[in-house]
Amino acid sequence: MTLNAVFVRLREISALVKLELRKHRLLFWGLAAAYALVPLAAVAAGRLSKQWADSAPAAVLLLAAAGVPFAALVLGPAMGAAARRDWRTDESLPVAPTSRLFAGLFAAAIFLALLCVMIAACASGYAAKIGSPEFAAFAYYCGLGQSPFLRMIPLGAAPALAAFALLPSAFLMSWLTGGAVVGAALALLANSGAALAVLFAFRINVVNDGLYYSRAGVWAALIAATVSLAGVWYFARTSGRSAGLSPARAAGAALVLALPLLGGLLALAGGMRGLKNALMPRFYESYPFLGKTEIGEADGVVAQGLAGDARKDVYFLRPDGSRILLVKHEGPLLGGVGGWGYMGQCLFSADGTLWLTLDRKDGAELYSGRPDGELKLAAMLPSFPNSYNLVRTDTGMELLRHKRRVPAGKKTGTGPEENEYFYAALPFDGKPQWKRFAGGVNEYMARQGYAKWDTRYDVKTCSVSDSRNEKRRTWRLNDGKSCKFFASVGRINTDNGWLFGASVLTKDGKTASALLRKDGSATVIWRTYYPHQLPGGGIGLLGLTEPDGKGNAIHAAGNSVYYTFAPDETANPPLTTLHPVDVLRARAGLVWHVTEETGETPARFVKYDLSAKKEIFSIKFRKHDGWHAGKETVWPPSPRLKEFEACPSGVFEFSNGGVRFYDWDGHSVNIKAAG
Amino acid sequence: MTAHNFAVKAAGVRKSFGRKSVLRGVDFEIEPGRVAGLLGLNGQGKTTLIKILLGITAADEGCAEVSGVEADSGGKVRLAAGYIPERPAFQPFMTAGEIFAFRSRFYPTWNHEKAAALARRLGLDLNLRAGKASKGETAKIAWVCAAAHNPDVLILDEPASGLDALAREQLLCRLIEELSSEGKTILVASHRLEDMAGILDDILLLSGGRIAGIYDAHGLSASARRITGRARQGAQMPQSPLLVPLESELPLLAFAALDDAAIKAVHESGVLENAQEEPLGFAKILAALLSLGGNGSGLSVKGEIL
Repeated sequence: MTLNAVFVRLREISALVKLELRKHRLLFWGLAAAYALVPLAAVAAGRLSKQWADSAPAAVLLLAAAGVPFAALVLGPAMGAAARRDWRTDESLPVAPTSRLFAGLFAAAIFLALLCVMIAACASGYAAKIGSPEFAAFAYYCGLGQSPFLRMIPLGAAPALAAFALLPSAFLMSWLTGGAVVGAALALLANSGAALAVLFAFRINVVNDGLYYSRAGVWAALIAATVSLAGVWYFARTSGRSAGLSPARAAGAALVLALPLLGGLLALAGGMRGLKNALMPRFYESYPFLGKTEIGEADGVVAQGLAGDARKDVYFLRPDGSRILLVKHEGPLLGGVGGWGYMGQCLFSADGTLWLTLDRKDGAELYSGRPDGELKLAAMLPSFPNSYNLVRTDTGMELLRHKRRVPAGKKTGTGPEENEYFYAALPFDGKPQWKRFAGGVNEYMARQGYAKWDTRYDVKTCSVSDSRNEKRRTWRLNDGKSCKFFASVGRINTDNGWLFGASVLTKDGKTASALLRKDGSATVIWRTYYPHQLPGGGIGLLGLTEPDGKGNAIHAAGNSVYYTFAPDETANPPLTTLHPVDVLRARAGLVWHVTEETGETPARFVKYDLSAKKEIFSIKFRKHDGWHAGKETVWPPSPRLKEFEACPSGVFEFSNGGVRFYDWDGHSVNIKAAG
Repeated sequence: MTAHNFAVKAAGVRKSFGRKSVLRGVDFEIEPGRVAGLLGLNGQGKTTLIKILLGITAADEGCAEVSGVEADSGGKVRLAAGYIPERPAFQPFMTAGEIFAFRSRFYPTWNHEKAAALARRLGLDLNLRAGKASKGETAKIAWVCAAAHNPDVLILDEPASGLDALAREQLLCRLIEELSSEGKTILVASHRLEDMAGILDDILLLSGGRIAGIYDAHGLSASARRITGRARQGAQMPQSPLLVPLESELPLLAFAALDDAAIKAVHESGVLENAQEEPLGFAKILAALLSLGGNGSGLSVKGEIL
């Protein structure tokens, strides 16, 4: 084909496409107007009524999720039907019917792309207005970030895309075979073949960024494609068309027919993956990255890219707002859905060294150093499917490595045989010296002196050891009955050695919270009167705090019960009026805690005198309007909910509004506003 | 003689729609510069044949060519031909001017001046929307579309359908005559070609799914006679391929004799007493031809007059 011929052809195609665009412009403008009206109406509704406060993001989300498939559903058949209806119009034009047909398809695709741009602009505009992490969080909690929803979008879009491709392809098939009914049937077959190929052969898992395939699916796709090809070829032959149809042309036709659906679905899946990559990491990175345990060695917290930060550097954040750069942000950080551990972890060792793991796309990194300057890269660690935990043991620090073996075509986490565990002592020379050990993290923790969390209810005893000498212990409850032990909460050190709280199943079949001591004694501190439901169905303790030096060990349970303990570690009567959601500090008969934020009530920072049983202060945290995620049922909590982290001199409040610091006397300072 | 000596050619063209066989082996050739009329009763397959010639419909068998371009699904053959469909249809939202501009993108040889001149001559308002155009106005748009790219061959399918007498005169006769004088080859399909007396060179009679005959239109006009007389008792009816009995009431008898052989056959048969000849009008000639095609033989009445 000469250059001139190409030019002529392009001129023809552009003329046809322009014609199609003009023919269907009313339909497009109708859709566009409807799409524009949805968020506008939602915003107006939100302004008029607080009950509709979430209507705007919900409408934008609805558009983002359903707008494109719906438009495809409308545009495809409309254009196909128009092609059929207008077949006699301009029949004298010197162009092939396929050109006219594909011009219609192309025009529909342009309309669809324009609507996509419009929806994206709408979503981006809204996200910019309320802050993309906020919008991403909203999307997440509306189910956009959840696996079933993400999978449902391609599945739900399949019929829409099929409709988009079906009528034009039916027309084309009719033209090829000389029979309208046969053509329509073949088009249906070709498109369902493509749909089968996508739905069965390629199980698109956008959540895990994986594309898996199954043999059965490949066979299904091959059979569908073969039947489709054979059908085209056979009917083209038997219809007696003089032009004839070679197998190659038939294959080409079938491929062309399958492409819109196949390509559309794959593009959609890719788009969803892109959406997740674009939104979710930012969403997670907007979270402060905190040293959750025992950070008393340094006055401050480790935080990663605070809300509004363009970069997600890791800092050591001090109460005065100064930040010390620990690790520079280089490239995207992994923020796997539901896998906050993938982000990394930080822990201070006894000598004040800060250890930090960060998962990056090309591997995990281990850093160490003093938090008064940039940390040193201690090692590059194999990334997914490995995950790491920093553990402070009785003897020092260790890095725990959990390696998942992922069989081809399977998802992870389907059986214990797929897991391997290693640990390495910190610090190390050169590279980590991994030692393999049997059992899971649970077993490992048991070896570190923690109780073993065993969900097998038939076990008679809990086992524990204070070193690696496998010294086992059986607890007997103070009523003389042994317990079945199925959940533990931390370990704290007391004057009498360590003790930890546990949820136990007593012999009489009831549940209880108990304190378990190193010497094998156990005390039931409360039974099922105020059970705190765990995701696994058991009851648990929310937290234990260190003894305050005045004989009070603090124990918070659930959202409404608060216990103190006498020096002999017997529980005082519960205080049921505090409603603590997190106990930050307990000293000298005083407790600082945070109350829960609900949709109506802002969270409060409370200082409470246990002996006087009265609040010394109760400070309202800044109220965040709008939608409120259920904190008990989903992790991680919405950025609209605040994160609190205590350090020796006070507590940091992290939210999308910025960062605020409160000292233990209730004085506060704004140290970082959201950008 | 090569294929290119024919402006339009069909060879063994067959087409069925389901069980209905419409074309059963159509063969004909039209030489360049000729104006041919495709004559046939309704439902004989004229439109189907034209669409096959233009590659709009695929033939089941056989091949068709226009200006040496074989008709296929690609539509290239329509570059070589100007085509006016039986019921021209254009995008209703387009004006005549937009339609011409749109079409010009598909024809490298499109002549904007010619299109404008033709539209002016036909009194066509370029701002007229196709959706609001009358039948006549739509036909005018179609004419401009068919002629503006200066094709060597024009194929007109029932171009007079729905046109009033004035429009027929203006569109059909004058334009065809002009185009013909430019050396264009024109194929006109119609069941009423009487308006084109003096313009047509050839008449292709489509009947029974085949070309039943190709006639020299000028020859027919010159030689065709209406012969009337009193029927002679006991005489044998004359036999000739181009002799058609006309409607008459005994004892009077009338024939349309389309060629000299038919005239001679009438006279020699002695079936008429006091036979009188008069020239046969073109409309009657066509009617006679259709009558020939209708029964597939030369005569609609056979046998002895009692």
